[in-house]
Amino acid sequence: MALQRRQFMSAVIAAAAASFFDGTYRGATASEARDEITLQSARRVGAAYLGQRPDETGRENLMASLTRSLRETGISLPSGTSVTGLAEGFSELIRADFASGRTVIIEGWVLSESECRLCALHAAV
Amino acid sequence: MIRNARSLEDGQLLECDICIAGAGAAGITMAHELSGGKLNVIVLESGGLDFDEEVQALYQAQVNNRYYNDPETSRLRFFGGSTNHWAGNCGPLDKIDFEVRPWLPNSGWPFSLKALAPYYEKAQSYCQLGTFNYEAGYWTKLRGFNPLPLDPNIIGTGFTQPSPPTRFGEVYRNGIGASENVQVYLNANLIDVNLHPDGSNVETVLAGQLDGKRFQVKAKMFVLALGGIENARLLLNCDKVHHGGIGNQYDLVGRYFMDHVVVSAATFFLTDPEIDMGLYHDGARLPGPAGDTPVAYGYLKLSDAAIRAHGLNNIRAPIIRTSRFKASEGVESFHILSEALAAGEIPDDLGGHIGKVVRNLDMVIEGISRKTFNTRLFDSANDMNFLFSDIMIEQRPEPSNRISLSSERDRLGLRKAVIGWNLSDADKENLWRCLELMAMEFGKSGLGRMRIDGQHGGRTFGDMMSFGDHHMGTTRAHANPHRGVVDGNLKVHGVANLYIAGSSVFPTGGHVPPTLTIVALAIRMARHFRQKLEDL
Repeated sequence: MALQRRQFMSAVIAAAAASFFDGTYRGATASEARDEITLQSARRVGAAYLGQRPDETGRENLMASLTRSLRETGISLPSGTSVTGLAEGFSELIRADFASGRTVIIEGWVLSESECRLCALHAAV
Repeated sequence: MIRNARSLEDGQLLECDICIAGAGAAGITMAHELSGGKLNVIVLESGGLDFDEEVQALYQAQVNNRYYNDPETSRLRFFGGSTNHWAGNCGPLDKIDFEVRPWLPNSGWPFSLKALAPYYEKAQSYCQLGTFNYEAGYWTKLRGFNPLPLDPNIIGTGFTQPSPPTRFGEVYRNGIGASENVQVYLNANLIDVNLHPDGSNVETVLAGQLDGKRFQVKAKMFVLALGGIENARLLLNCDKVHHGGIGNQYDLVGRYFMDHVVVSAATFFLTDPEIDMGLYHDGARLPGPAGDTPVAYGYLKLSDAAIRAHGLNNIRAPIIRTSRFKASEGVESFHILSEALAAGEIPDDLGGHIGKVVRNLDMVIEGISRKTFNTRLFDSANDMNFLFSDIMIEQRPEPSNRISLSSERDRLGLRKAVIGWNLSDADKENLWRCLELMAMEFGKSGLGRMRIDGQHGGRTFGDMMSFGDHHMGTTRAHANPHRGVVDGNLKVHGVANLYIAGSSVFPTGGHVPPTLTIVALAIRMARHFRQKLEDL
């Protein structure tokens, strides 16, 4: 599974519903500010996740965890570079996490392990 | 007819078939049900037709929990009782609430929902409600909205029907006043219950006024309908024949005191802010023959299957759409810090609050700007893709939560109540487990995410906690006298002609407000009396 940084960032934004964490306004347009808030939130979630699971620190470890989860749940990502396809695949994985109770609590929010790993990966890359 | 007990002679003896003490929802319903029948009924009401400070002061009690509501203001002591200030939210208990739930000690009612259903149906009209239907399918079709797309095997939608709210004292005053067989005596405080020396039945009750005048009532049947605290207090005070109070041979009177605790413990983030939430909107009205009438609105609850599978008590989670700004923890923490600093105090969890303010600095700045300059800064503050929920918890029946007596006496000479109330760790743990289930379901369905607030302390179970003021459980019903004060007919075990009406008989409280059940039980009791006495 070879994924580029840009793809991951897009997938994170699309799949990991991390935008509920308030970020800091930087005077950009509303749309830019919201994207920035989303990315900031993702980084915060990622950092908090690694704080709880330090053994997963590092891109390789996170990738390995995600790959293992995908394999265990039988979910396959598209082989192309479609961001939509990636987002759908990760969304499915995230839902499977919730269904199986693979959740993490960060700042009170109940999040799926996979979305936290995506956020941590974003922070790492 | 409605009379003033002040017109009675000191020492006078009144006689009737049924004497009911207390004219709140239970007492008035029962009197109304018996009105026009063969039985002569006397109702004793402590207050008059309006609020009176001196009478209300008879509700003064000592409370051992600084967060629990003052019982002098959480109830009302005049004709109509606490329906003079109730909110009007109505619903029946669930089928599972009546069952023995093995994971919930002391659960189980001595009768089923099916047995109570006909009385619930009639209770609807007493509370000025529509049809007795609380099914999601019915309201979904009628209102044209859909429930949230959650797995119904885990999270269901319950329904509340809003009463106007019915002020029982006003609505039923004329009907009872015109009755020939029901006599209501105002300013008539129940002071003592006089048992036969062998303790097997009540011979008379002693009533009186604050000025010292006393009278007695002799009846075939007596009913205490004084409220969830006062029923127990009165029984405990009457200890001349039964040691420790009437019906208290197994030390149960006053114990298992419960309330509905309400906590703001959950915030929901919706992925789609446009999602259909119409079914959950409190305040909707539909046209009807008598004009627009309020209709049932939905709330989230756990399914029976989830409750059984996870061994939980239910919760009631009404959901209200709110903005990012109002949902922000940082704004709340900023208020807590500001209030504490203004009072020269250091709040609990100081570091946690500072962290929340820093992490949510934009919303805090938004709040300051709104308050100080009346100016809004950030568009995102108005994003309406958040929901908040004031969650009502079914409290576990614990014998250590109890009404007992102090040595201090009121103006009538009765020992005042001491209210011992606490929320157990098991109740708190139950709430977190319920919320985690909800959060997982929210994520699984793709609806959004849920934040569980206050899990690690804070003010959730402190000054942010509020109460339904639903006083329950102090004369719990159970067929076995070792486990209940009253039996399945709500008659005090061991006393042939003394009955208890009201929420004090609830063995468990469910997750819905109690008034509809109180009224249904009163209708059932009136029917029991008619069957028992009218053919004699």
